[in-house]
Amino acid sequence: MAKRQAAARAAQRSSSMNAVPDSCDVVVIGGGPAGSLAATYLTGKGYSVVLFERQKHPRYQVGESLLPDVWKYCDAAGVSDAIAAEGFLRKAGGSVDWNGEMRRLSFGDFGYTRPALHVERDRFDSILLERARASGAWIGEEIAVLEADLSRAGDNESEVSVSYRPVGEASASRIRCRYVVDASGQTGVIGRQLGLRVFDEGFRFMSVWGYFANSSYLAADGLIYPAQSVRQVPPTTYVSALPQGDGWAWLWHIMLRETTSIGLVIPKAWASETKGSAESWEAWYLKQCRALPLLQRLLADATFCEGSLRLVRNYSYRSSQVAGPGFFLLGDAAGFVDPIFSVGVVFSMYSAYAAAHTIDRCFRQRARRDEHRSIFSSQVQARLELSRSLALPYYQATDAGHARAREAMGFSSMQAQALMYAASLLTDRSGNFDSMADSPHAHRAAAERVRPLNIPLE
Amino acid sequence: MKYTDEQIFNALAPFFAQDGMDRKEAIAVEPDTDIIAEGLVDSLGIFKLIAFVEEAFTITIEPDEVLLENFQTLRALRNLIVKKLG
Ligand SMILES: Cc1cc2nc3c(=O)[nH]c(=O)nc-3n(C[C@H](O)[C@H](O)[C@H](O)COP(=O)(O)OP(=O)(O)OC[C@H]3O[C@@H](n4cnc5c(N)ncnc54)[C@H](O)[C@@H]3O)c2cc1C
Repeated sequence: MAKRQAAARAAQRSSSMNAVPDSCDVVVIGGGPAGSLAATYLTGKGYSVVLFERQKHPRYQVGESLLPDVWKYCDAAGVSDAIAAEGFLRKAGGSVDWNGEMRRLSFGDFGYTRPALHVERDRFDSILLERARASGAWIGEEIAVLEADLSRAGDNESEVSVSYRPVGEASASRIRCRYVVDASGQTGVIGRQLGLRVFDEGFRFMSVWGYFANSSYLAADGLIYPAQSVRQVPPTTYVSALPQGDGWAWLWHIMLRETTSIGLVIPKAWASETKGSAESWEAWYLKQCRALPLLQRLLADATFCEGSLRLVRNYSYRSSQVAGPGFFLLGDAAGFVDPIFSVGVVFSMYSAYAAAHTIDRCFRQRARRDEHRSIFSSQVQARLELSRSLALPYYQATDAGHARAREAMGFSSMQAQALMYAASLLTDRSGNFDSMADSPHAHRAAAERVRPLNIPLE
Repeated sequence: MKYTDEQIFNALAPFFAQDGMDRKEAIAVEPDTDIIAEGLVDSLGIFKLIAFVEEAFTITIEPDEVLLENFQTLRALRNLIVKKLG
């Protein structure tokens, strides 16, 4: 027994010390949903892939509320069974309290047959990374990518070399490839290197969030349930405008299996005006949480998880270019706007699919690489513009990206449009939607399916 | 190569026999069915459809042709294909 264990340990050690290959078809930077799915899709098409992840999974990540659309990307990666087996909480829909209007919607009413999820991202992302490993991608955790040499990427052979360094080591090495896929999230290795990142002045927001134990929650029936019921009665994502927050500050309440994620999205100016200079972010955050009567009710028996507070500024940006000779930007590395409609992970997965498809086309039709890349770019940029146009407070249809957003809206199904309209209606952004679509169907669907939320008074 | 309209529609049909749509009931695809609104071609399907059409008819679709007006129905696609085959 002891001998076998020792042998297994030795094998493990040698596999973890397995040298990084000198070359491959595609290098993927980052092992979040975008990177892991891109690696899985590409190995599935027969390409050799090396994925570098700076951290070691399971690693923390925000973004726990997932739309039902994630399933089609998980199906395509062959990872849906593993996700289902994990037993993440099913999310029944949304409960929204926006400037005094309390309304709710459930995905089932919009024709979605598979559930939305509330996931602990460390677990969710690990499952996706393990899938990439099982598909045959070479996974190097705790290896950071430093930069990519793209100077010969435009050549006939598309030669790219990527420099990386194992965490804690002093010297960097290089790997040769044909394409590099940047899925490094907010870090944006390639985007920063090439100066492609454009911070979004329309979103002067920051986010502060943390975790509570034992919070009650709202279910799809509009009733409040105690934390212990969460596996039996699926929760909704509860979203509320903050009354003092300039009309645009809001909070999320996302039930997880053991804790509840509660986050504030607030105009930076408002935060700096109201937070005393001696006051800690934690004290300020807890004060905001206590200021909302309904949230206070949900938190009546809850305790804050000490040390769980996190904060992010400047999370809204786009890229002037999402692909170029030899490279593709995916997920948050391409752009991220605002968490209001929970589209971050779905967008990451979508861009992974689009990139894998496009890289395959580029390998097969070398002479048409520019055209394939151009289709990728316009599709991905249009999706980003659509999310931005839906989310932006004070949206102006004169905005430069408007035509692109309209086109992306036109390419959306009635089902998707109906859900987008309903979600924008609930959060006082239906004007944004209407400026991009003339969709009586979506209006009708929302009128039938958005329900008032009556929280019984105690 | 010249195709009749019927040949074009028949060549496109197998594309819609593919899986992956999150919907309850199957939809018969007619030449004027709005394949986008009905969710038969979603943001992911559009990539597959472009590749499918290029291979089936040995044509190339240019980036500036990837517009709703060319992809909304099989008839719109047929018009694009006929134009490309010139
Ligand atoms: C406040 C807030 C709330 C959000 N809420 C939601 C939500 O409810 N639902 C939703 O869908 N989305 C939400 N999002 C968005 C969501 O978090 C992201 O869109 C999603 O995580 C992006 O996935 P990704 O794979 O692109 O990047 P990530 O998940 O960030 O993965 C990138 C990976 O790259 C690695 N990496 C970075 N640099 C390097 C390097 N140099 N070398 C190697 N590896 C590197 C990182 O360690 C990381 O693991 C939210 C975002 C914010 C800011």
